[in-house]
Parts: sequence; C-alpha cells; structure tokens
Amino acid sequence: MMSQALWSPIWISLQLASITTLVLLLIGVPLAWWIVHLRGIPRAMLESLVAVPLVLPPTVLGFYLLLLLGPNGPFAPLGLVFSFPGLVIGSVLFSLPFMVRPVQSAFEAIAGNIFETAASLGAGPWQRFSHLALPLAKNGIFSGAILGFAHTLGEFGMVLMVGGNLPDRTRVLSIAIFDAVERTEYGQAHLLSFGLVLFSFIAMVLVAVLNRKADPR
Amino acid sequence: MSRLALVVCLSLLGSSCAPAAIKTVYIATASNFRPVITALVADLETACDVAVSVSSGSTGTLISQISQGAPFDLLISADPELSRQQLQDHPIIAFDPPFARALMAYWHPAANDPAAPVAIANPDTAPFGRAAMAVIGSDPGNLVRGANAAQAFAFVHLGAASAGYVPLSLLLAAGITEDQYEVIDPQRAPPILLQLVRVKPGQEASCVAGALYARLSTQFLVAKGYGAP
Repeated sequence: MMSQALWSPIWISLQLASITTLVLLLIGVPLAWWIVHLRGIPRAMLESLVAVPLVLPPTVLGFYLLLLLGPNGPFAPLGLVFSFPGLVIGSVLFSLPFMVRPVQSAFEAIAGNIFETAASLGAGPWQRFSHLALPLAKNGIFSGAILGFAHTLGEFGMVLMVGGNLPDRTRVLSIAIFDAVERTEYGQAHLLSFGLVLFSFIAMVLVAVLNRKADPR
Repeated sequence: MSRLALVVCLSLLGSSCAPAAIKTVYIATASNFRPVITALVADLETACDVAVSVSSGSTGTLISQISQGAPFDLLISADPELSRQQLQDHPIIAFDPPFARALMAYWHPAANDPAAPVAIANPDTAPFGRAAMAVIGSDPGNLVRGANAAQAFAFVHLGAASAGYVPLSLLLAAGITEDQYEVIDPQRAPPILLQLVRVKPGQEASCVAGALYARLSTQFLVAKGYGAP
C-alpha cells in the first residue's frame, strides 16, 4: 500500500501536469497557428518570446512570479502565491514552448495549397483551421501535449519558489524527491525518481513514434 | 484528446469530491528540528484533533517564504534575531522565548574520501552554516554548501563530502555512532537557539503549540541533541 507521503506528491503532480496540459492545448495550438501566419519581425519577436523559457533558468521565472503574485505584487489580492493555481500559471508559462514548437512545426509541414483549395471551395478561416489544420497536425499536437505534460512533471526550481514545498498542497514529485534526499530517505527518493525516469522514457518513445508517423522517412 | 480530457476531469472531480478534511496546522521548521517534530506529529494530531503538516528548510528560506505569504501557522526558527528582524512588520502574533539550544557536531565517517570537500549549511541563510564558519575560521579550505543543515548532512551521508558540520539532532535521528563525530563546544560558535513563532492566530495552532511545549521536556530535548537555551 502506497503511503500518503508517496502518493500525495504523485497526485499533485498528475493534477498539475493534466491541468497545465489542458491550458497549454487551449493556448498553445491557436498561438502556434498565429505564429505560422505571421511574417517578418512580429513573427521573430513572438517566436523568441515563446521560446525564452527554453533557455531561462527556472528560478528567474520563479522569482518574477513571486514578485508579481506575492503580497506586495499587483496580483496579491488573487492569493496565488504558494497555491496550486499559482503553480498552474507558472507551469503554463514555463512549458509553453514545449507545446508551441511541435504544433508549429506540424502546421508548417502542411502543404499551403490545401488551404488555398479549401478557400476556393468556400471554406472560411475557422473551417480551414478546425477541419484541415487540426486533423492534419494531430501528431504534432499530441507530441506537444506529451512534452508539455512531461516537462511540467519534471519542473523543480520554479515550483519550489512559487509553490513553497507545502505538503499536500504544492509539494510536487520533484520537490518530494529533493526532500526525501535531505531526510536521507533514499528508498523513497529512488522509488519516485525511478518512476519519473520510466515515465520520461515512455513519453519520449511516444513522441518518437508520433514523429515517425508524421514523417515516415 | 478525449482521454486527456477524462484525466483532467477525474483530477478535478477528485479534488472537489474529497471529504471535508479536519483543520490542518502547517508547521515550518528549521531542518535540524525536523526529526523531532516528525516524531511528535502523531501525538500533536491526537492531542488537538487536527492534521499537522510539516515543511522544513533553512530558517532564512522559511522566513522569506512567510514574508511572501506562505500559509504556515507556526514557525520553529533557529535564528530568533533574524525572525524578529524580518517578520516584525508582518502580522505575527507572538515571538515565544527560545526553548532549546541546538548543538553542532563535526561528522567524519571513516568510509568517506578524505579528499572530498567538507559540507556546511549555507551561512547566508542557515544558522548552522554561520556557526560552522565561526568554528572553521578564516581559512575555510575546500567547502561545499548545502541549502540547509539537512542538505549538508545528506552530502556527507551520500559520501559526496568527506566530513561536515551538521546538527547533532540529525546524527542522533540517523543512528550515527559516536565514534564518527565530535560535538562542537557551544562556546566556539554563536548560539543556535530554537524559538517558536506563532505566525497565524487560531485555536488549533495554539493547541498544537501548547501540546508541543508540553512534550519538550529537558530530558527529551537532550536525548534528541539539544541543550538548554
């Protein structure tokens, strides 16, 4: 029987990753579609902005979120700091490029003349997006969802700063592992770590399979 | 897509359908005191009919989190001066007088590589780090800093550090034999005093504080690696 100390961070992490992935799907897919249709400097600026978390230390994002959401920040009345919704906001920002990049690539791989043909047959912008772009980019969307989910599960620095390591509230898997090592409870650390290694490997295999389906060369 | 939606719905459903829990009292403790609190959690929960949740870290980090609004009810600080300095402008209801003095030990397991660095807690945020620096003096040599005293302990425990200045409480909790460490004379370093800070008002938090004091007899504290303040 799994103890509460083990189960709680797993459950919180799964909830966080699921909700973050859902929000990423709602934001990331339209954002990728928008980027694909931008040109020139606006496109370069937006692409760069979305990609910033790829190179930014998580503690930088955590620090600024702490300032923005904390008691002296503009969003203090919302009470988001050291809370689960605060973690969701941070995770969405931090995992955004992991969703947008593969979806954008999938949209870009669709031949443009399909949309022109659809337009000539009377399909409007929404119909072209929902009936053509989304189904044709489904592998990229699934890849983005898997990467977003997996990246959220693995995040540490930002969630430690914004979440504060509160048991049963904001203590996610990565922090529970850090905590277990500090307590020299290596058995627990091994169990949680091995679970994450296994999950990450499966996630990467899934992404590779989806990529091969999209481009079988 | 529908499976993902199902997972999310189940997640949300799980949260909203959870039975109404009894009140939880959140205790933030300096990491050296964690083994003591952990050993008392079940007692405190029974005494006050609450759930007790424990977070640990360096005193500086915990104080910083409380300043930012972390929802702790009680703080066990290992630095009363820093607590008062940093938290006096916050709605803290009481700084209790120190109840114990933490003891530090130099832990040098024979199995560890003597060429590896010596572990200390971060002197900027952890009183044990400052105490270690006071003992080490002006020639620190090859040091590695843990975020707090527990991490310094883990560095030695894992064999990554040759030795370390660590809380005696953690050595006793881990069952480390006396031949592997020397207790540092408390006169050689600034005192590490433990103090209870009542961060939030509340009947349950007061009950837990009272129940905690009732269990911290001198004999109990000495057995756990502490002395009189």
